[in-house]
Amino acid sequence: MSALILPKDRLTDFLLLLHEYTLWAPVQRDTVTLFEVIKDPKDSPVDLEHQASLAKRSIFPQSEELFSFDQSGILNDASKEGSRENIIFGIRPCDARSFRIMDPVFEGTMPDPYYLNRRQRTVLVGIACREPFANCFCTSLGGSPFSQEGLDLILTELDGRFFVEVLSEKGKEIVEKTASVFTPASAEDGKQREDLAKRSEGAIKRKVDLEGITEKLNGIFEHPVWKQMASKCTACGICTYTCPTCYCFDMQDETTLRKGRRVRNWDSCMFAEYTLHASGHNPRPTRAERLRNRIYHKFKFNVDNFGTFGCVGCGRCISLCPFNVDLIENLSTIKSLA
Amino acid sequence: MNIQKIRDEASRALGRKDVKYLIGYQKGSYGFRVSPAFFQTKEEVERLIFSPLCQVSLAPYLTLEEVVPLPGEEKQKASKVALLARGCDSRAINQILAEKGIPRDRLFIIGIPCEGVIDRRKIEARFPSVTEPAEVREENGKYIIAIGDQSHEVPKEELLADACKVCRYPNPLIYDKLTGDKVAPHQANYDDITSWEEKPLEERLQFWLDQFSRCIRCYACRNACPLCYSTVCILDRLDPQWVKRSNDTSENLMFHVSRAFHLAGRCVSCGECERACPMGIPLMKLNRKLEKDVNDLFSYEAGKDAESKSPMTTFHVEDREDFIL
Amino acid sequence: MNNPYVPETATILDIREEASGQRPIKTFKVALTDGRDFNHQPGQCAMVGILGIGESMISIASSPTKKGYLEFSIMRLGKVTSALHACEAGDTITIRGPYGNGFPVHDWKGKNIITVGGGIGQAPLRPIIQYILDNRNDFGTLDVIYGARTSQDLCFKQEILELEKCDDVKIHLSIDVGEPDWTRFVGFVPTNLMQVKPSPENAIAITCGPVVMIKYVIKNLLALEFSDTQIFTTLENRMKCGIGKCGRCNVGSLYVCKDGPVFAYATLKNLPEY
Repeated sequence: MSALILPKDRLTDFLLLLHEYTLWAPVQRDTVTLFEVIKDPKDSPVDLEHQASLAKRSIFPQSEELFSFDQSGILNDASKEGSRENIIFGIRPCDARSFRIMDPVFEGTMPDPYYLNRRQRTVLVGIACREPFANCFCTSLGGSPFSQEGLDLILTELDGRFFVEVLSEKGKEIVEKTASVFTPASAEDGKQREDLAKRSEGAIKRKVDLEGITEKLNGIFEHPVWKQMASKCTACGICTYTCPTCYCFDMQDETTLRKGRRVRNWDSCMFAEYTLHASGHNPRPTRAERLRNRIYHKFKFNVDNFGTFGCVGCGRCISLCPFNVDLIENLSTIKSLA
Repeated sequence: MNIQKIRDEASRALGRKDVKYLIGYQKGSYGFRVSPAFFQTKEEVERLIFSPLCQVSLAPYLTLEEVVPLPGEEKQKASKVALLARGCDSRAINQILAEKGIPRDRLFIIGIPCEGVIDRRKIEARFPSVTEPAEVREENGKYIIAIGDQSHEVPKEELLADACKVCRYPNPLIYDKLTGDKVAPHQANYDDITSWEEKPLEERLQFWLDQFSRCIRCYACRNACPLCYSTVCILDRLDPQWVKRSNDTSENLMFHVSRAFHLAGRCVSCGECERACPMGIPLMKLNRKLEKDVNDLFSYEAGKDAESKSPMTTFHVEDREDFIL
Repeated sequence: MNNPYVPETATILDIREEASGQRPIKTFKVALTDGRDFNHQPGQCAMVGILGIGESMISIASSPTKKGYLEFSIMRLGKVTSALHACEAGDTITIRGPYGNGFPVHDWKGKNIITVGGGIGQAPLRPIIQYILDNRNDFGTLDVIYGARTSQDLCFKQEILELEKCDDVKIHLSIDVGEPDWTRFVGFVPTNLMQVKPSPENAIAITCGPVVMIKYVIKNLLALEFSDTQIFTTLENRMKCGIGKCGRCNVGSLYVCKDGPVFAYATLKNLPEY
């Protein structure tokens, strides 16, 4: 399907036409921009300017009921719930790619119905990054500010309008449902988009060459560098929770007197309790082991198991870490080790 | 603030046989960032910096487990950790000492009077997407900001952290060495708190429910706080479990209110919690309210010296309540 | 799509006390409510739990040749195991599984099997022993080397003492410190192993027990000229999902719940220290 134009002043109309979907979009909440469900697009202006966080919770919520129970046994299997289609609007190419990295974890011989049901009924409508943010290094991870991977539609902001490219059947369905707001794009529009793409990719300032990093990691598990790297980390969960490809979770039963439910919540490999045995033994007792495990998971274990790095180079962990633990710096240090 | 004097003091500290390492600051990995850094030898002191960008408090590193690898044999017997401490940092240290969290003889404190730090969010909003290393110095009520080979001037109050605007203890209250000239304190100012107190309860509750609906329970606030140093945080325990781990606004509120109460009379208003929060939740509003209340009720401020016990952690027979609560 | 997180229910048929004291051990005999057999492999585990409390990954301590029930030998240590210890016969628990890779018993047909267990580590070895005894002609000799700190800490004591009289298997028991009525070997399990001195010829050795014991047993097996591929053990780690998704139980790139818990020493020696 050829490219289309959506005038900026018709964006709200576009979103309103999609009222049968649950709409997730980046919304400004005081000083941060987060992906949230928008009840009425007229009331919530979408923020496409700042780097929005937590897109992953639209498919993988932070807290999720698995099932409920009472004295008689299990009552309700929550994986069967939910039938509304979701749209994540305004998602960046890096975040869209991140779902492709999480998918094989939740698929496999024992597929996870909670994640997969949502994933199957979610449409990803992306916004290309005209100007990378300070810590964007997607190009070092095989991505790019205009990458189309994993997206159903992608919008590029031009002057007063969006250049819209349809990338999948799901995307086509969306455009057909909202046809009234679109006009065909011109060759000139297409050229402008090309120019912006080139310029944006060239504007990525921070890079790291990951050639051979997995092999490098094979040999440095016991290296003292991990202690150095972890010395300023305070083992909070910011990096893991804002990371689009982190998916570790905890399971727990929550009960009142007569009823209960088993829930799963995001968990962080940086927390001390993460691998604490009931006996009191902890295979990763200090921050050094845990930071090492996180880097290994993303740059070796994920490669061993699924063939890709577990990172999309969005840079949020770097921007949001209060203590300047910098993944790009750490990866460069690892590469430079003899 | 003379960086050479600070480096000299740091160098002298590292020359002491009983100092294992020094906690200070070095240039961060990009833009306006500054990184906490651990220095082992005098030679390394060259990379020690101190500027208005040095916002992180170094005090929390005193109570994390030992991770810095020790260099040679001669330092094995060393028992002290040296660190740079400003006013708020020194109050945090005092409070920890008063609570017997660390022994005094384990510390070598280089006190530095502080003219305030820049709020990273403010400067990054003013100069977005800066990756080249930037430097800032203060001159005549302005910040001179060097980004790459460009220089900018911004009035200090535009970028100064909010906590620093009302700081009454810019000069260290405990130190082994003091370097730098004393700085005049600001006046106490709880106007924003008192005007807030006048709002109806429902409005205040709704405000906090709204704020805490954003909380992602990353615990950065707790881990950045110099006074939250329990080996296992009570709000993390499962035996019994006081707060659910689910992200639920009511439970999130419970976590933060509990933490604020655990800090009442102990919080030194360094503002680290609010600065660490990735969701921009105004945690200092809560902490400063309790700080004001404790002062009003008990005429007590945390961390003024290394002996005084916080009223919320002590019980005397003469106390007017007839139970410990 | 099946939901792998929703457990089945099972009824406790019988509870047997194995060891008392600070860390008591009980063996639970359970039957799935819908009456079906698990059809598991020796070495596989299941998530055993109680609704409202949680789940714990426990080795299945009985062989798949035993129909109509499963056995779990559980040490009381934390929240879930304490709740299980407070149960009685007739109570309902939840089960999810079988999980994990199990011992490759089919590859071991015709071989001489040596199990080397310590304390509760005997639990994952028991299904191997039962499986072999129930398929006796398929395997060569069977030597069971097992020890505990004291005679009170020996699990499956009655069973093993009965097996001492059986010709199909040779039992080599030990306790760490001598006791008045104890006539068998006194000393640590790795030392007993060297006394027994099993031949590596056409043999497989499987060891489970305290981490320190495993370390020395493997050392001794290597000294006895067992190769990397002839030595097996099991690992454990904190687990939640049991199906390789929650991320936490990894040792290197492998998940103990899914790619383990059984590991040949050939694999284990290349995994990062954990």
